[in-house]
Amino acid sequence: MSAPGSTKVRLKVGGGAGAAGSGRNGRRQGGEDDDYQPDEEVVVINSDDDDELAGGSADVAFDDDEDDWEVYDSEEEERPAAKAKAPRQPTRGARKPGGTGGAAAAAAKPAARRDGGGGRRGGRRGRGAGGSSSRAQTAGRRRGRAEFGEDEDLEEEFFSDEEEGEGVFRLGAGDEEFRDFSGMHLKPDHYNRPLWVCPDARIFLETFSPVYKQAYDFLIAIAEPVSRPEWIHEYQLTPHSLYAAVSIGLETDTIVAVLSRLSKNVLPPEIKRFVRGCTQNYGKVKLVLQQNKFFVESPHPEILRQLLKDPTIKSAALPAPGGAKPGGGGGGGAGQEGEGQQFRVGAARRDRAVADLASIEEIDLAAEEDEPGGAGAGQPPASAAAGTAAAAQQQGGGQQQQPGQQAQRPSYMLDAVEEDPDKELHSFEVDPEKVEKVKERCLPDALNYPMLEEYDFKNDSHNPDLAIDLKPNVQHRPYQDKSLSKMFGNGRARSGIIVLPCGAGKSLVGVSAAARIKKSCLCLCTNGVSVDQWKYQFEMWTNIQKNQVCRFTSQCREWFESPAGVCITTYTMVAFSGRRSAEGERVMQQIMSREWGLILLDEVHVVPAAMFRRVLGIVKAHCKLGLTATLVREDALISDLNFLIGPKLYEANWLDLTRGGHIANVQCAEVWCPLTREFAREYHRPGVSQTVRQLLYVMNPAKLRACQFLVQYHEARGDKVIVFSDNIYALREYAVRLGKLFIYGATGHQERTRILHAFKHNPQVNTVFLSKVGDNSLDIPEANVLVQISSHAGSRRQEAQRLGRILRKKKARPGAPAGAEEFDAFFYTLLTLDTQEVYFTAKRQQFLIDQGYAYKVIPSLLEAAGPQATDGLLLFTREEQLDVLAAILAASDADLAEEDVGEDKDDLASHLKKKAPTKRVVGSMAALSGAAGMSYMEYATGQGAGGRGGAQRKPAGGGKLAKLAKKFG
Amino acid sequence: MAAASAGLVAFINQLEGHQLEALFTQPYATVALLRSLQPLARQVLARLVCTGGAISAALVSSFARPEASSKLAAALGELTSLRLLSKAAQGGQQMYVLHPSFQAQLRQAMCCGMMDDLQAAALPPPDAAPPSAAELAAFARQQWEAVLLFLVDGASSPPSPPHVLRAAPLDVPSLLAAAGLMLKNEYTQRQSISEAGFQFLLTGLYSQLWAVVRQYLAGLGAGPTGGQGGPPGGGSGLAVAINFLLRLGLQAGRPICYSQLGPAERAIAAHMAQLGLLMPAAAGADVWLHPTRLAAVLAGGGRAGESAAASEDGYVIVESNFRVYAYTTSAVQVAVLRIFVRCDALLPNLVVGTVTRDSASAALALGITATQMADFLRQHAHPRAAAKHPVVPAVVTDQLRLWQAERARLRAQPAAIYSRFESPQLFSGAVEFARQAGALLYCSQERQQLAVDASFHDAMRGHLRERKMALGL
Repeated sequence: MSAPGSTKVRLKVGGGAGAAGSGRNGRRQGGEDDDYQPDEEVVVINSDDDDELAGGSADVAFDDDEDDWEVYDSEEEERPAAKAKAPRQPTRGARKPGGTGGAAAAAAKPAARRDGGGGRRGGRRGRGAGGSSSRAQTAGRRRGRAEFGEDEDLEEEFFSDEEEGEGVFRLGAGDEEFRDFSGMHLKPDHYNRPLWVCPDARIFLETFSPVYKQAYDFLIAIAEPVSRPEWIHEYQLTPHSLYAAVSIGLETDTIVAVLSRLSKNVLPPEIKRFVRGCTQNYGKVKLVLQQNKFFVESPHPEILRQLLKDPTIKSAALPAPGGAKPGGGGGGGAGQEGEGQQFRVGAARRDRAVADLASIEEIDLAAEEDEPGGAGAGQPPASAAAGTAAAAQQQGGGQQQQPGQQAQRPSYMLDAVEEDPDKELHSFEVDPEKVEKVKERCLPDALNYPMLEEYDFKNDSHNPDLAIDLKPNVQHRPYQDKSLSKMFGNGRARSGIIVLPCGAGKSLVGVSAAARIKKSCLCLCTNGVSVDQWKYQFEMWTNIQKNQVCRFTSQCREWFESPAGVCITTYTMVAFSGRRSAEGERVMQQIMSREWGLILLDEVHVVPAAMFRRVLGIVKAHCKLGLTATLVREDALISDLNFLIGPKLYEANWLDLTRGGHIANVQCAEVWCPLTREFAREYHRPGVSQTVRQLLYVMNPAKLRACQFLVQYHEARGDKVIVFSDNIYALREYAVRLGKLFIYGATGHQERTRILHAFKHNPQVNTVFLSKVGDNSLDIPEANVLVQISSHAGSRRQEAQRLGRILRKKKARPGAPAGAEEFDAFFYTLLTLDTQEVYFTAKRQQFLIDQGYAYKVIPSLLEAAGPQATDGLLLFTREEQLDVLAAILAASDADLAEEDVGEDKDDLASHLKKKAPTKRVVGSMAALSGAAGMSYMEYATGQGAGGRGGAQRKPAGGGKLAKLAKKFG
Repeated sequence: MAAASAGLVAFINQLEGHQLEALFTQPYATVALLRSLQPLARQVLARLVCTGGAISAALVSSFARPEASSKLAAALGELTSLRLLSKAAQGGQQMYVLHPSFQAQLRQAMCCGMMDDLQAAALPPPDAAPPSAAELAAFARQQWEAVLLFLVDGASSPPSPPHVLRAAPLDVPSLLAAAGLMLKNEYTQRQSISEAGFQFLLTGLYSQLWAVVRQYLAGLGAGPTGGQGGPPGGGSGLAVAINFLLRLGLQAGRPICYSQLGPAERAIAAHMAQLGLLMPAAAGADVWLHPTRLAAVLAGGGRAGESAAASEDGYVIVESNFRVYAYTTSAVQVAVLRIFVRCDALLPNLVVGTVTRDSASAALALGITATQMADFLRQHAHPRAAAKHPVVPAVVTDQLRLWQAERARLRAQPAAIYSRFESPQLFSGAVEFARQAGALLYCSQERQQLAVDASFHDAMRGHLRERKMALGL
């Protein structure tokens, strides 16, 4: 690729079959995909690298390390750990719960069965590996990086390893083999019941069933949603999901009983075995912090006895004090248990959330029918939990109908004072010093009784209370209420993750949790901008005093004055291991020395596991709440999160929220842009590097024209448009050609804030171009149109996160009557036909499609728009297009060369050259201030005839961007 | 595709003049035909039926307001193509002439009704309980599905004739093979479904019935008289047979006494019972034949028939993620779905499938169109899904259409390629020669290559030989 562009530009127009391949065919084109090998090599970080990283601040030009600017690609760091992993957790968990007979055969089935199977690389993942692989992963993960830069923007750096490489993706749910369960027995009154439960642990749910709401709440507690479109949902029981179910207090018997109550078919014995097998050890033991003492608590004394046989735990256990028993749960007599060990015994308190779910057993499925006897016929034997059925039902019914007194006080605010007469809790105290060791011994790779952590914050007198209350006008939406009630179900605070779509009000859930616990709260975000947003959220929803909220970022290091407060910071600030400024050091000391009541983890899906370990190791917190919109399931991250933070407590259904009007109704569209002849020829030229290929399909002139058309069209409608491009070269090129503002990694905090402010408030600025820094947690409620011109390969999460930018419910447009339009937001993906992008796009969409979104294909946007609409679009003539082509070919060469010399930081190169091992680039002050962004390249549009070969880097002096920056800055 | 456009109207279209003449003397055929016409054509007929038979074209065109003249023209076109109307010049004026026997028969039916015949027919003894609607439907489904199932797998047994009739059975396999729906393997003598058969499965019940009945009637017309105990061949025999078939649907639920039928009609009735159009029930000493829903669909005419077919309970739910859920246990329905839906799981009363690119492409390769697939999904939509608009998510129908369009993206064309020309003049001359003949497919000056349509090869070879001689190569 060293030939100068000028020769390349003279492309022959005749001959050639033009773009080979065909339409969606591209998604399966074996040849193309074979060429493309995304980072299959394993990059090994040797000790040298680590040393260099650790000694981070040694070779920088400034004294204050926080002004230092380090870039390293976290992906590379994570990758080796990820690659070293044992077989990946299968998408569908343990597919065959009882013996995995034909699993190997199924995995070995040749990909050839699916025609030209190049589209799906790597064949099918082994099924039936079950939960055991997750442990191996956990172990593998530990090798990850433990060193982090302080000022890193996680979103910019993070790539989940799931997204690339071996990730097998089901095109239109591609690789399921046919399974015949027609031998299952239907119950006689099956039409009254909403579920089918298959022996492979799949569950199908009818959404039009009268008991859908209850069934959904139950299923979401015990199973992973696979797809949730309009009529029939599919779920999968996995060991993880069952663990989550157990940890919110559901018991094995209840799960089986309710499942069998709701199921149309007689519950397969495999399922019963599977549920038993997965739940027998989970959730049996709890670690409770009560009155500043740690207790290991369990309703099953025999398990405690078993634990105490372990020497580590035995040494950590403290003998119960003789007569005086702390009456946490309502004190009972200390029983003399075998082996002389005394357990404290207390009455268990009933859990509201669980009682709700368990009450499903009592729902009259045949409500519409006159004869209730019919429904009762297939009723399963009452479980232990159903013993108090009457009370549970009353409560359950009350919650559904929201009677007056409950409307005033959401259920999660109620204290669970009710005692459960059927259950006793046994507990022994452990030495606070040895708590971590005890926890570790209980992990699945040791004693296999993973502990759930609960925080009895009501009875915590050691830590000072924080005067924080939600403002009286704050109203929770039903799903927010529900997720909080899962967290505070038994009056204590559970650790776990709450999954809500972007724009559905995750922050309010976090703030409410903090206001409920009323202790000091540490809130971790991904970048500086969202720190500001969280601070704003706290001040908006609660009556917290200004001096009780502080931010800790590289720009501002505040600390609250009061004994308790809220501190908002970023993951990287906490995990940073280099030298800090004196002030930063002081704040860090404060953070580390304190016992936090709650730690809020925003956007948990982006944070690498190693960073989590480090953060959670530094910060002592009683309760951890993770928030995210996209917990992509097959990622190994989930098993980590399960044990690091806690199980998934709640996950909302996107479609239900859309229907309920809580999030915007988005029209997703896929705009097809044919590759022009010249670009196609370059694209298919053998030996063209991946980088150039990517540039070619991103810079496809048809795409630029489509982008311009969409931007103009929506600006004319009065919409606010965000254009996303992962490719920095394209981002600049597009933004400059269209004369719009843009933000990317090198844009400084100040400038980002300024541009976003202009976008929100300046009627002249209706479009902003964002690189992937804008993917997560950027709150831009005004935006309602999103155009995606390039993306990170096949990342489903990125797609969902980007969609999240426009999900926040919009106010009706001025002039348009409310409800006049079906859709209030638009999400366009521009896609160059006959390239890898087709495959990636299909893969990316899968998550959202499973959530019930539909992508409308627009095969010929510009043709449909008509000639008068497309007048005045850029790059009309072939000469202009050839100019762009020449620039791409030349620029990428030049930039790659530059990067090797390492004299300048170049986003494009650093972004694209992912195969390079970990590198750090020392930035200049200019780069920090955003001035580096000014030295963009500009190519003459229109007047420049023919290609100009070689590197042509123009001085940036009077660029359009500079003018724009002046105008709005 | 024959099966797709099957129906009474299409059937009549292909009849010859004398057959038509004979048919139009039959009362039920006349009424059934009237019913299967579109409303405007029916209206025109109603206006013309009591006239002298010839009416000036100017008058007819004044029936419609100017803005609706195209619709009227379409209706007149339909009538003309059915030969119900014909154009004639009379006294320098364009006249429309109504088919005389059709007119007479229709006038008779309109004035006197058709109940005479029916009322004249005997009624079953009142003490014998007629089969219930559910029983009738079950019988019809059982017999008809057996036909379809045999079509799908070729191995199951075709429907057996009801014993009580003791008639010669209909050879269903041959019937399906003759209709082109199945192909017979010459060696194994096994039959398997053909491309036309797949398309047949996706069409509506009305079209399916007519495709089979048409073949049946053709067999009657062609076959030796009494070969299968059938009715006499020829135009009148065919007309009688059609009339009888259509009468079944117009019976308004009245049973027919088997023993009172003529021998020809008796044979047809037995065959129709085998296909599920009639349900025999013994009452007293006689066997009574009760028309089922299928008979009503057959005679109900195109539009009416379609709606009768659609009233069948839907069972398919299509999701926007291309999932297809079908509430069915019927092997036929599953088999039909599997033509273009990949089946993922079979539950006791639910089929879980996915429309994938592969599965849809396979169906497209069989000649099934995207529209047919979408229509099938729409027609059989589960009541829940049918209540919503659009019934089938737009993404799915769009994608089916795109998959279809994708197949047209690359075209294969037989071609002959020439290279290594001895001289540039020879090359350019050949290019010019091919271009003028319109057979040039591809030429490359650089490579000195030329491709022409394969059929042009001989001409090109002659040309090259000539030119070589001329150039002295």
